[in-house]
Amino acid sequence: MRIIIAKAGLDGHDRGAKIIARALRDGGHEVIYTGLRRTPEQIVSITRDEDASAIGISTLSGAHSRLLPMICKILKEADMGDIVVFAGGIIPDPDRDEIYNAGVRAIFGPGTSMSEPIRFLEEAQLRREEGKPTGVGEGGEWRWQ
Amino acid sequence: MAMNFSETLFDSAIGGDRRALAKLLTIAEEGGSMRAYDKKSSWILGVTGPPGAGKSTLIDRLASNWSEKGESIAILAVDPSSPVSGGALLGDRARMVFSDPSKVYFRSVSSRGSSGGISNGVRRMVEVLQGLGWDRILIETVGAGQGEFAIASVADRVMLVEGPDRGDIIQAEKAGILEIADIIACNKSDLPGSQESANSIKEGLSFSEGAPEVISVSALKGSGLDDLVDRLDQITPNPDRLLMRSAILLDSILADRMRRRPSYEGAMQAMASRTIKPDEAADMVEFDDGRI
Repeated sequence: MRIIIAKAGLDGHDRGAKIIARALRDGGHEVIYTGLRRTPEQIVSITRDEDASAIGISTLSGAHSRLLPMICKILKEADMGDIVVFAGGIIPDPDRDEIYNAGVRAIFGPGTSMSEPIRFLEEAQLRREEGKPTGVGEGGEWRWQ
Repeated sequence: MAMNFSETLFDSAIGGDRRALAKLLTIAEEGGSMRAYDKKSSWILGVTGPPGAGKSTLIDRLASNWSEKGESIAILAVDPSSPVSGGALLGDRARMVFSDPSKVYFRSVSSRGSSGGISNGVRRMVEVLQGLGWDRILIETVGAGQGEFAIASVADRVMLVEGPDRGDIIQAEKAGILEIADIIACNKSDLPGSQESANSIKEGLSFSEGAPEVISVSALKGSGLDDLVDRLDQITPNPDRLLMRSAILLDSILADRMRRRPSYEGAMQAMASRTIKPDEAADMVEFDDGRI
């Protein structure tokens, strides 16, 4: 898969993003890292220009409840509801439902093993091939737990 | 998921739809069926050089400079894939800070293990961009070896980017690639030692006839950029260099085809176990089905 790994907003810590980018590369994916401090609009444009099929957003700034739903909304408005969105970083449990409801399919917190996002993407790929709702705008109840 | 070319996609891309453009390029990259494009006269530049020389930053500056003059710019940035997993980490985009992404199209490309193979993909992508009328098309490759030069040689003109105190200049000289660039940008002219390295490149070239020009530039500070922009437009493809670059590109495509032959694996194994000589292994690959 072609996957965008993004850092959104005022968040200067990208060690986690770079590690996940490397893990996904080692899982055989083509990973495009956006660099720091991208706006939600920029992240969507990059995904479109790169013809990527998934976006992973790393967030450590505490602004996840605003930025993640915003990215999901812009994707849907841009007719890119087929894109798979997942997140990682510090996202407290009480905030997660809202983010899942916006269309994010997986949230990987601290302590996640590197193989987990790879297994998530394998399943996402499989679901797509089977025509099951997988993308950010495709609805359904699917969440990676 | 193999997709094929569709006229709708092409019409949308002509109308400026970036998603359609991105999909067309994926089809081209993967070798899907395309129509013959009515090519417009695009200006195509290959940019190569060792890691850390500042290629991405320099390309960012150039793209910004041209797009401010109203020209449309598309960049194909090729990065190597991991030989173990086949995956790739494509990070050149993170360095694009000066140019306006709504005017400059940037696309990351994985080499997918073979310079010969990807050079075909890049050539097809360039054809799509030409068909859509992009004014300037840049192909960025990392490294200063034959493989990287093969991909850059898809372009009509090639710029080699070097930095000061890298020692890579000697490597580039050894690999014989200094002379086959049309122009050499000696980047990071704001750092100490840059003048010396520009001089040493010039000295390395001084005995060859029609040697490429060496331009000092600082992508970071922007100094020397106007000079570089002027010189780039003055490049006239030199027949000798075109010939040398064509040879490198042809070699890499042939090598890629040979590696795909069914007998390749067996020949390699036999050679590794020392049961046959390298020449015999090559014969096995070359003649097994009677044609190249």
